[in-house]
Amino acid sequence: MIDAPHDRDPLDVLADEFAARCRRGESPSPAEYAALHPEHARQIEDLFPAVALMEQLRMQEHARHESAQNAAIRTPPQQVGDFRMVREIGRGGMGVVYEAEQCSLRRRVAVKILPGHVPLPAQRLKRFQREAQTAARLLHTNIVPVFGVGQQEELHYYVMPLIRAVGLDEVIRALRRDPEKRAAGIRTLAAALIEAKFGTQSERDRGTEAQGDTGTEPHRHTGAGRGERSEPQRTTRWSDVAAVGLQAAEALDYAHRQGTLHRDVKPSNLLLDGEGMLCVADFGLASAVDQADAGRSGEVVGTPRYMAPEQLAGRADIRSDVYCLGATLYELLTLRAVADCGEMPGGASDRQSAREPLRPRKIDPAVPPDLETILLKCLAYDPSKRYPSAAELAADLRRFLEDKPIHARRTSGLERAWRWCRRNPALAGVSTVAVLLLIAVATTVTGGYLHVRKAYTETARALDRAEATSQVSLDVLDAIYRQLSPERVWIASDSGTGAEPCRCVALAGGLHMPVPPSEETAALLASLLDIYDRLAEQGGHDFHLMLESAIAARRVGDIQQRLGRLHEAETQYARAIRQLDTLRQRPEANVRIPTELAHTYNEIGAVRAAKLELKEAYQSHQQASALLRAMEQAGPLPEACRYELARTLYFLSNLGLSPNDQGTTGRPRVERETFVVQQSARRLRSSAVAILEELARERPDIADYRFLLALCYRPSAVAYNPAGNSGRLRAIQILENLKEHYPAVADYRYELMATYAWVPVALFPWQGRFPLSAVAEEGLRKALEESEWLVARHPAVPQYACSRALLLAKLGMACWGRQRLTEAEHFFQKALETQEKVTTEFPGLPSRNRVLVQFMRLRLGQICRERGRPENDRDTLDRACQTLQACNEDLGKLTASPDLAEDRLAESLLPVAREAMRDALAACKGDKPAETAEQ
Amino acid sequence: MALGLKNTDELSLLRTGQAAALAELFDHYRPRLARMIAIRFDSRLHGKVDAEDILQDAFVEAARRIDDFLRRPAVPLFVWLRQITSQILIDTRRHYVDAKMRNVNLETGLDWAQSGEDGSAFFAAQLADSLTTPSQFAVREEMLLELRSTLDSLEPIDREVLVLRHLEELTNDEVAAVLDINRYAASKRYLRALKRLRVAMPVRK
Repeated sequence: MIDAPHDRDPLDVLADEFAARCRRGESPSPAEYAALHPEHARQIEDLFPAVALMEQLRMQEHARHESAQNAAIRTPPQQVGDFRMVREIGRGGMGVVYEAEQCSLRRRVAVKILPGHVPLPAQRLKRFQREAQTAARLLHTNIVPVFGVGQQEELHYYVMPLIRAVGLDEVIRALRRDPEKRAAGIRTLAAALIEAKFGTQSERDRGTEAQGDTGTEPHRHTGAGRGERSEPQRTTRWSDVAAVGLQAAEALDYAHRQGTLHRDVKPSNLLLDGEGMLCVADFGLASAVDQADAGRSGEVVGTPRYMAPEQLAGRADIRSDVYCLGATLYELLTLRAVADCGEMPGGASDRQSAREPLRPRKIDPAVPPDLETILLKCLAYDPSKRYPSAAELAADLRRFLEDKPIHARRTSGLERAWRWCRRNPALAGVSTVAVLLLIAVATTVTGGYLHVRKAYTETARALDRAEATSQVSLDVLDAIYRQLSPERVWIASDSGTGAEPCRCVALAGGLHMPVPPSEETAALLASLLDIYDRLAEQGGHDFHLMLESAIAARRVGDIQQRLGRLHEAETQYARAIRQLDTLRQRPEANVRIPTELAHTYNEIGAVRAAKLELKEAYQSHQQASALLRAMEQAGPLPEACRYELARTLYFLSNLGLSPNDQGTTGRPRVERETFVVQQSARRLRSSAVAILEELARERPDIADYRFLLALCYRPSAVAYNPAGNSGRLRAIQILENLKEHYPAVADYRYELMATYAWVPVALFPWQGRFPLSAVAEEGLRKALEESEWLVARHPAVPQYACSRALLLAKLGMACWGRQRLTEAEHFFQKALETQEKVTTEFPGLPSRNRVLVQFMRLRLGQICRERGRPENDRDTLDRACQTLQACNEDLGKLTASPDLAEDRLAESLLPVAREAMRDALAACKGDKPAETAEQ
Repeated sequence: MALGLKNTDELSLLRTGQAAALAELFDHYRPRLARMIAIRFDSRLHGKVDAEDILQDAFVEAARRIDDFLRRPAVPLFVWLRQITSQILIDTRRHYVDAKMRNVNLETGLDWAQSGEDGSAFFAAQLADSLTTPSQFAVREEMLLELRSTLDSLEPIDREVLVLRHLEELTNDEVAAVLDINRYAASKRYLRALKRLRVAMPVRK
């Protein structure tokens, strides 16, 4: 766009050129211009310095804009103290590790920058420094030495040698991705990972040899096994695990003898190099910087996933480190976290004490029994049953590697059962049938209908026969529910009152072993509700029993909701709410009641929103909000309530109501103005994000906090520019991460799919031109992959099938927009088939799904027509016409259909469809030569 | 798609109904629109909305109104997109700042309600922020700071012309379209604004 010079003041043209040169980075001088254009000399000298200044201002603004953008993607600090950051080599809850150059010594080091731009309180900072000093005194072959600590502005960091090694967390991740690699042994895999991360050995910087530092260590222990002793009958796989454990145990033992506890042994703190040499990092630092501050009641320190039970109560000793190392080795061996493997989920009342890891040989029968025994001894719930010192663990591991008899004694199955009973006094003395049944149910994870039914009948029989105490029955029922209900949410939301924040850790983040929801399980569970009621009656309306009963009703509602049976779900939720409301009046009522009530209100709101009863949905969520706000008045909200509050905000943000409607009095009104609605949604979501970021930071072990966080980051409206939408990208990042860790959880996959497909449908005529870019199309294809997984795994969930049809239609629209008509037709054909199948397989779905079929047909006809037109391909055009005519007839039938009125959306969609249909059909008939048009 | 098309080409591209045209053209102008937002973004909106949100809304709005625009294209496409974006920005600001923070407005002494449509008022609001910029280039910063406050003291129309021409890097034609005046007048107005700036703030030697 070049301006015509004669339309402008010539001086302006010169000023423009002057400014353009400034923008190119030149520094033109006004005097030079004045000399070139003497006729304007005076004005040039007068005005052009101002032009130059304005351009400087532009640069400043520009720089600020850039830096704001960069800050948004969290660029690492370039220089911290004496250290110049080279690149990021790892990150975790404890901070980010960079490869860095120490400028004064010109050597490569690793710098760990601690999390939080929030300054550490002085007292804690002091401790961090003290711990670092202690750690710096530890000199051992298998301990990463600390060079020093430092602080720059609000960043705290410490410096270590740069070691060519990978954390065991990376090894475990790689093994999970590709279990084939297991056979080759951990060492080989680590070597490959290191090569990928650091380049080949020869590329190494001269100054970086970490081994140079460790090679001069005074305490070079001879016993550090590297797997050379592996016996022929043993694969390297087992000996590698034992060798890793041996080195770590020796390092821990050395530190323990120096009086230092590690407190946070976990895979990411154990670094393995290509030679099989292991180094333990981050000694003692956990206690100094850990964010989980239990305040008055002692401090909880460490990573919950790997923590020993007593650490949850704020106590730690040598045996806690032994436990953590055991948990790490367990995960390395089985690729499953101890926390995910509760053999006996136990009742809600006693979750922590029931913590007993699944025996490794159950996961993989090839695990040598001795190795299993060693690990289980580390992981004993009671510290006195563990190895009393890391040295003894090391000794047993060495015996294992040398194929000598180990000292740890295997516990028999009977003993394990007895111990379990002793920890669960409510069960002691009760018919073992119930206990065995509980175990059977708990381990029947994907058993399907028959198993479930068997479990159910046996439960009923056991309940009758065993004169079970209510507690036993509840535990059994609870176990069954937990296994069968598709819930993930309970992990966070049922975590109790918050008074004992860590009690649910054994199962939190774990037990993601979903049973596909089906109508059979829903029916079974609903009938179990009667048992609850019976129990509650027998127990003289015992508070605890009634609460369990209410929660059970809510869970049945959850399943019904999942199955698309909205009406049934609402009934169950209403029942739960009634019971909870009664309980609220009871003197025993505790903080759990309003929390559960708020949760149930939110679920009922979600159901109502799905039924398009927005006002009712809004009222439900408002009720949840009011309950939680009232609790907030009374004091800081417990964790479960904060999560519920975030959920409430999220649900409200989805309703598409404008902020004025959300006042305390007036009735909500659906607001059309996009921006007002979106702003309001954003405000709600950013509040939710603030809560969830905090929760996710405090409890990285609870996946659902991150899950909801991802949903809140995702923009409320579909994104026109999916590549540049930072919220969508952040959501994808979180969800991909969740998928990696919990590949079997359908909810995570579903939302990942939805986020990839977060582009306009463009299926409906009133949506205007919502063009889909190439990036959008790529997102849709990724979404399709996830969708295929979902439909294959959970054919009974209509939501998955529906979203697949819509996804195919979106892809069809994307291809159409880019004039790839054959492809577009193919996608629409598939979309149509899928959608038709959905409506026949799930007749209970709202009528809008049947209207949607016609929209897809309409588009298919239009595409077909467009494809046939250029060559006047009669066949194709006829097909288009037939498609449209069939569509027209079906629309006629739909209009007459009596159940249509039940679905408001269907009702309002139908006229639009008919109108678009008429236009399309008219256009299509116009294509035909006059003689064939009338038949 | 060839970018940097002439206005007429852009319009015909949109008219031919190539579905992706608007998205691609919007993407083409995105950096400029983002710059406009950055310059006029009210710092008090930080954490509530970001530039990406505004652009997203602007696009949705543009997609909704594109047919009206094509029927009677009064201004070049970019100017039209800029108008929409600017309107969204104003609405957003009004939504958050005016409604919720009137007391803050009073403190800064700026009458937002009256200067509601005046884009440069946003710019003035940024002045407070710039005070916290790290002072590595202290002298230049000081000069620029002075420039900012001088700009703020100018007549709104003069300030707006300078912001459009320099900070948003609009051409004279685009400025003319934005202000709805002819090219020659726009050119004159720019020179007049420069002069007034020069008078208000004698440039140091």
